[in-house]
Amino acid sequence: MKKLEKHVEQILDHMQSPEEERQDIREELLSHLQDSYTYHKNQGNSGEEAERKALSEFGDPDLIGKGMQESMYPFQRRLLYIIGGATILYGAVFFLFMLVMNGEEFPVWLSIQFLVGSAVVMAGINISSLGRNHWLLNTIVMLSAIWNGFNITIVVYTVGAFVFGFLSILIILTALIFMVRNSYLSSGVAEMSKQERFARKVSYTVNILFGVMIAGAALFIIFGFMVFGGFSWILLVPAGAIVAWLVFFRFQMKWISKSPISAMIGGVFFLMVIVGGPFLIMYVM
Amino acid sequence: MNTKKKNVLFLTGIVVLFGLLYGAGTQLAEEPVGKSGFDRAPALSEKGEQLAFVHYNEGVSSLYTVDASGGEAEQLLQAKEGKKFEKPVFSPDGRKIAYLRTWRTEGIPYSQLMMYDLERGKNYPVQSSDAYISKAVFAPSGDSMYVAEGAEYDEQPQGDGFYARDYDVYEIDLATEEKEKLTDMGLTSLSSLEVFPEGERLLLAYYKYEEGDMIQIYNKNTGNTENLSASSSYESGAMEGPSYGAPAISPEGDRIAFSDVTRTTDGTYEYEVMSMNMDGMDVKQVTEFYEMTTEPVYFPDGERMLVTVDQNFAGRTEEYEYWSVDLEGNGRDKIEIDIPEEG
Repeated sequence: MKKLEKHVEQILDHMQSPEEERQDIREELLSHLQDSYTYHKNQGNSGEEAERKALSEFGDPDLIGKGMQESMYPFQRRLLYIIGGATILYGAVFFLFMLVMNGEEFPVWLSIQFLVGSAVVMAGINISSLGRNHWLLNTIVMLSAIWNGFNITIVVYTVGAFVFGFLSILIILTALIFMVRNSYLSSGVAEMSKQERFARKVSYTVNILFGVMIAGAALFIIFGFMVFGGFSWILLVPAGAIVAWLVFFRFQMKWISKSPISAMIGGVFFLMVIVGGPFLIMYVM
Repeated sequence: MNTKKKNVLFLTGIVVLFGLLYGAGTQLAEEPVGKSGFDRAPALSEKGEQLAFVHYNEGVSSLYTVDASGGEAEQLLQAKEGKKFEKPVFSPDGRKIAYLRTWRTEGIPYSQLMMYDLERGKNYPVQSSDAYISKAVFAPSGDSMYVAEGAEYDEQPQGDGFYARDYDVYEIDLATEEKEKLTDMGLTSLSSLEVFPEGERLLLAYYKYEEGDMIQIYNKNTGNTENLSASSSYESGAMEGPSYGAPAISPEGDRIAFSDVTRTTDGTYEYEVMSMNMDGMDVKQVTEFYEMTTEPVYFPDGERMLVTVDQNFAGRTEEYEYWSVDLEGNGRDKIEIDIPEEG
C-alpha cells in the first residue's frame, strides 16, 4: 500500500494546493487507487501484481500532477518561470550591455538580480512546498516586481533606457498579473457565483494596485534621497512602508475572501495611512 | 526528474552563468585611463583665422592652436599632472590666449585664470590660485577681462567633495591686475559669459531653480539687467526648456546663438544650435547633426559658425569634433586637425 501513497504524493509534488485542499485531493486519489487495487486483487492477482496494475492504469504521476496543477491553477507555474527567467536573462543582458557600452561591470547588482530571479524560478520548481503558501508566493513575486521597478531608475541613465525600461515594465506587469491570479485562485473560487468571482477579482486587483502605489511612492522617495542626499537611516521609513503593506496584504487576502468590498475600503484607508505617515514623520523630523 | 534534482541543476546553472559573466566582466571592464581626444569649446581668433583648443592624451590636457580650416596643430602648453586646461579665449589683438587651469585639492575645485603670450611664448597666472572662475572673456579693448567667479564653496549633497557657488561677474584690469566686482547676484551657477561688440553689455547664462535656464543682458554702465527668452511660439525639446546652452553673440550683436534640445532618441537628448534675435523672435535651427551640438562661435564675417559636436553623447567618453557650418545653409565642413606626436 505504501506504493499507492507514494504515487499520490508524487502527484501532489506538482501542485500548489494548500494543506486542506491537498488532504482532500490526497484522500480522493488514494480512494481511486485503492478501489482499483481491490478490483485487481479480487480478479485473482497477487498483492504486488494488483498494486502494479492499479498504478499502471492510473497513469504517470508527473503527468497527472502537472495536469491537475494546470487545471486548478492555470498558467501560474509557467508565469513564475517566465518572471524569474526573464529577470535572470535581463540581468545577464544588461550586465553585458554595460560592459560593452561603458566598460563597466556591476557584479553586486548582477548578484541581486540573479538572487531575485532565482527565488522566483525556485518558487516555481518547489511549487508544492512554497506555492501552498499563497501569501509567501505573492511576497516573493512582489519583491521581484519592486526590484525590477528599482532597475528602471538605473537603466534610465543609459543609452538603452527605452528598451530596458520597457522590459522592466513588462516583467512588473507579468508579476502583478501573477499576484492577482494567485490571490484569486487561492480563495476557492470553484464553487462561487459569477458575481462573487468578479467582486473578488476586482478587489484583489485594486488592493494589489494600492500595493504598487505604495511601493512606487517608497521607491521614488528612496531614489530621491539616494540621489540628493546619499544613504540615510531615514530611508528605512519608506522601505518600512513596503514591508507594512506586504504584512497587511496577508490579512487582506483573508479579508477579501470574506468581504471583497469592505476589503477595498480597508485598502484605501491603509494606503492613506501608509503614504501619509512617512511624509508626516519626515516633516516632524 | 525529481524536485531535488531540478533545484540542484538550476542552482548549478545559475552559479555557472554568474561565474561566466563575472569572469567576462573582470576581463573586459576597462581600467580607468584618462580620456583622449578634443575638449569642447574651441576659441576663434578675432579675425577668424586661428583656433585655440584643448586636446587630451590619456588624461593629460594640452593647449593647441591650429589654422581655422584645419591642418597640423601646434602644441603651446601641456598641463602638469593633476591639472587640466579649459575654455581658451583669444585676446582681441590675437597675441594672447587666456584659459582656465583647473584641479582639485582635498575635494575642493580650483579654476585659475592663466594667460599665454603667443609672441613671447610665456605663460603666467592672471590671478592667484584661490579663486574659482567658471568663464573668462576679454573686453573688446583687450585691456581687461570679465570673469564669472564663485565666491564660496559648499559641500556636495552626497559628500563627494565641494562645489563653487555665489557667482558674480568681476572685471580684471590686465595692466594693474585689480579686480572689481560688477554684479551682486550671488548665483548658484554662472555657466556662460559673453561680451557684446560695443563692450558695454554682457550676456550671462545661468540656471535658476524652478525657472530653468536663464539668459540675461547686463549693462555694466547702468547696472541694469534684462531677461532674454525665445518667443513663446518656439518649442524646445528639453523637459524644462528652452535650454540656453553656451550662448554666443553674433559679430553685429543682433543675434544670439545657443544650444538646445530638439528631440529625444532612446532616452537621450539631441542638441542642435539655434539662433534668435535679441527680442527672442525669429528662432532658427542652425545645425542638423542629430547629436550633441553645442558651443557655437560666430566667425567674424557672420556667415559661418564654429560648433562642437559630440559624436558619442551619453556614451562612455565624449568624442568631440569641430565643424564649420554655413549660416545660409550652404553646407558644413569638419575641421580636420592633426595632433603631432609628442616628442
